[in-house]
Amino acid sequence: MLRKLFAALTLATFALVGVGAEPALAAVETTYNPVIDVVSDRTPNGGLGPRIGGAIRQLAEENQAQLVKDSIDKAFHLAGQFGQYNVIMINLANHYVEQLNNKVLYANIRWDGIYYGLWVFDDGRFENQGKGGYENWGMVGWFDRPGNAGVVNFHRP
Amino acid sequence: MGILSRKMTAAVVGAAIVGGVVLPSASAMAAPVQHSVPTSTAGAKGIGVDAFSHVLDITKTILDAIEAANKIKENRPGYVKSLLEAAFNDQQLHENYNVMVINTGNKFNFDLNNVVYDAIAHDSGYPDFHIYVFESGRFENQGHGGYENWAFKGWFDRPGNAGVVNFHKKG
Repeated sequence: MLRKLFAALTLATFALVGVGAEPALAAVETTYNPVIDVVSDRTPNGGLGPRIGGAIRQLAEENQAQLVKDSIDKAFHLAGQFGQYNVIMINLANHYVEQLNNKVLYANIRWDGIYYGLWVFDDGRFENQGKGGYENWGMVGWFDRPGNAGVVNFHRP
Repeated sequence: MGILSRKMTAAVVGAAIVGGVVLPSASAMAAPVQHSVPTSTAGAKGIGVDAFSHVLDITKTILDAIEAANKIKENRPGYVKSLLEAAFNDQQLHENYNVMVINTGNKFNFDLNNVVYDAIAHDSGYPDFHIYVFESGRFENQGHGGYENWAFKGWFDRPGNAGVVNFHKKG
């Protein structure tokens, strides 16, 4: 937010001193850190939650697609220390049908005002009825996705 | 900063947002440069600003403000479902209970059995939402629908995809 404000102020200052009618706005990289709440964690001694929480909190992301890719990657590899689990993450503003089995972890992730859900689980079916693309959802594990469409059938390795 | 703030306030006051499009009002047209052709600047997703004068060009700032407000609106279904999934997936509940999340501004009535959690969530960006976690029962939403107003998860039938939902105990 501060960087954005600074960019806006810089732009206004150029205009004020009359450098040009249409001052060039320098590209400003704005990154946001996700906020994660681990809602449930059924791994032995609850060991996975703090690890995933810690890893995802440290991500400083410029865009939604990168956030989703990095989050599912971290979650999948950390979950791999506890077993062989599938991972899915979706923008909760999407319509979806979740029919997953043996969910060992669920977390809410908020990034730049956007709400995502993250599941770590054994198998099952998940249907995304909304927008696609990495900015809206991503998954890692063992699955088939007929026609590269919205339905994903997850299975054990 | 003081000048900027005042200018921005004046511009915002002088604009009316209608369906996501900013229309300059009469006061906005009374800007210093007369009879000038407005400079139209389009932002993302159909929003835009018609600037009639730019001694100071703060269009970008105004666009950012509109975009931020739109984003809050767009993300509201996500906010509602983050409450829903938090309640449904909570560690202590073991996914054994139905969950209803509804805008407290909606008119609704219910007859629920074994309510194990009952709360109202506050967030300055959104209306208040009531959260009910329960075993079974009937819930009727008499107000607006859509995920921006209510969301539920569990074991239920919903005749005609209408406002009445009959929840069953997890089988």
